This record gives sequence, C-alpha cells and structure tokens, in this order.
Amino acid sequence: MHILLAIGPEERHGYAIMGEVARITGGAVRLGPGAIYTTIRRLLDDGLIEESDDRPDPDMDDQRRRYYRLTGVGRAVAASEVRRLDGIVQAVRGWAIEGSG
Amino acid sequence: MNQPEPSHERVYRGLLRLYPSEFRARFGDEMVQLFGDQLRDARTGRVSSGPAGAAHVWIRTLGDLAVTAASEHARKDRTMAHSLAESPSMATRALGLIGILGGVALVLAFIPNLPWIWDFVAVRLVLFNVGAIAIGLAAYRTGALGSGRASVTVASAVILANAWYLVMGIAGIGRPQFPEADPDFRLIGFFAGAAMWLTDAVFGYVIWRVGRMARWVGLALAVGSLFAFTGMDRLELVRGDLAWFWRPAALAGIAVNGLAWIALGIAVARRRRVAVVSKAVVHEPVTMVDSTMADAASVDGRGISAER
Repeated sequence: MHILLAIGPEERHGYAIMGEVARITGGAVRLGPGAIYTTIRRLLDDGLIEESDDRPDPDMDDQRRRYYRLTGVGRAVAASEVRRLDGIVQAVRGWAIEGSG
Repeated sequence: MNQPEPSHERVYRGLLRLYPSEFRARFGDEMVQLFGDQLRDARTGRVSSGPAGAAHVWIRTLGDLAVTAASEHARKDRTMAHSLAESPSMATRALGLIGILGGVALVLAFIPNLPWIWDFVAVRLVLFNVGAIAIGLAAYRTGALGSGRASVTVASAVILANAWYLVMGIAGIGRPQFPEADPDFRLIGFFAGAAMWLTDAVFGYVIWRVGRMARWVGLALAVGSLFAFTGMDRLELVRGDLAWFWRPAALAGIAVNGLAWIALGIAVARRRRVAVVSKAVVHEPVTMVDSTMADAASVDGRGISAER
C-alpha cells in the first residue's frame, strides 16, 4: 500500500518510490530493493500499476531505469484505501487526540 | 563504451541469483541500479543513513534480500492459473505412485547381484506394466495428453499394449523363459513386446508434443522405448554385425524407459488440473493487494473493472 500511495499521481522509478515511501512515513518505513520490486511485481501483475514509456527524470536517466504509474484501477484502490483510513482516523480522533490533551 | 560495474554492485548482482530466475531477469538490472543509487547517496551524505554509510546500506539490503528472495520463491508458482487449478486427486497421486514403483521395478534389473530367478523377473515385468498403465490413465485424466479423440486413442493404446504384456508376464510366472521357450506363444510374445515399446514411444512423443507435463521426459521415453524395441530378439539387431552398438543401445533404452516412467510418475502425482474458468470470473477484478484493499475496493463500489 505504501508503494501504491508513494507513486501517487507521478511517474516514479524504484529509487524515487523508495524515497517517497520514507518521506510520507516520516522515515518510519524504509524499503530495500527486494521489497520494492517484489511489490512492484505484484502491483503490475494485479494491474494496479503499469510501466511508463515516458522519461520524466532525464537528469537521473539510465537505460536500466523504468518508471511506473498508477492505472485507473490502482487510482481507485488507492482512493478507497485513503477514504477507509480517513474514516478510521475521523472515528477515533475525539478520544485519541483531543482526549489526551 | 560501457563503464565496468563497480564492485559493490557486482557483488549485489551476484546475490540476486538467490531470486527466481524469471524475477531476476525482469527486475535484476533495476535492483542493481537502485542499490547503486543508495550507495552513492549514502557515501555523499545526500541521504542520512547513519555513521557507517555504505555498511549500513549493505546490512539493510542483505536483510531485505534474505526475506524477499525466500518469499518470492514461495510465491513464484502461485500464479492465478495455479491457484484456480485443482490439486491432484488422491486417485491421481496413487496412479503416479504406482507408476513410480513400476519404473523402479524395471530399473532394478540393472542392479547386479539381485536374485534374478525367473519368477522375480516376471513379477518385475508385471509391476512395470501395472505402473505404465497407471501413468497412461493418470496422464489422460490430468489432460497431459491434450484433449479430444487423439488423447483417448493414445491413452487407450498405451494402456492396452501394457495390459497385453502384463498378461504375458502373469502367464510367465513359474514358467522359465516364457514366451520364448514356448512355440505356441513365441510370436504372440514378440507382438506384445513390440506393441508395448512402440506405444510407449508414441505416448512419450505425445507428452513431448503437447508440452503440458514434463515434456523432455516424454521425449526421453519416446527415444528410450524405440531403442528398447530394437533390442527385441526377433529383430536380430542385437546379434548382427552392429551388435556392438545395438546391444548397449537397447539396454540403455530400457533403462531410460524405466527412469522416464519414474519421472512421469512424480510429474503426474504432482500435476494440478486446470479448472474451467468462466468469462464472468475472468472479468472480475480477481486479485487485490491484500484483503484490506479488497475490502476498500468493494466498499468503493464504483465498478473498478470498468475503469481498466
């Protein structure tokens, strides 16, 4: 799920995805190359992401580097997951944050 | 000109052999690239990775590799077709096991110093034929011979020919050198043997051509059986001028035949039968990343498959 959200609306290669996962989790989640690409494989196989032919990061370009972006299905799944998590946060915000102050 | 790969990346590329080859071929270059990016940023301080820099990246990467390589191996056979396929039934497993025992019985003939009394030879042949019949039946049941009339014909031929030789084997128990020593059965014995070896060869060839199960074992069975056929006494090949070639070739053919039945027994006992999948199932969004996401997707309920 982290990778799906890290790709977001952009087209990102593996290292950019790794950095974005670390950023959105505040450094709590740091994925290695194996975790990144085994998950990318699953997401590709499930049709949630696809490989992009564009080269949006020419400064970091390399023949071996491939870029990935969300498919329509991937965007729908990511949006659903965000709504679900948001619902949980809204439901417990009262006692978990305001109650602790 | 291509730059030589730095040593750290070369070592990491070697370690990628721990992943399944198909996964490595697909993502290996990208993983090495990503690992190199991590090392570069750790050395230049662009990304904070603690005091040890490259060593820290290596430690994290080795842990990542150990976990994900193992999980990828565990996962590699679990394709959608695999998960939709039926596990081999107990009957198929039993038939495979009988086939293995039959092949072992034949191969035992090549181990010296066993009690080669005639009855044992006859019993061994009976076991071998029962095994071949079992494999023929199991291969047909699991679709390894393809479909339609041709598969029925091939399976029937190999089963009937081996059953014929089985009857000759049973008749030979307690009758030394049967059927060669009995003029009434000599010719019948020859045709039974010829039918067995030739149908075994056709059976192996079809396994190879269809390619759904252990296809190279099928080819080995076909070639081995043809050589075994040439070793039949009435063909005189093993006694002619080229006996120096045909005799060992025929014996090798028999051995290959036995080993192939063992391998086919293992293959058929493990073989899953692919279930018929309806169009409705195919058009569903069949897999999600995990159950949480599947729940989220269904809650969303906006027809995800339509957005594809």
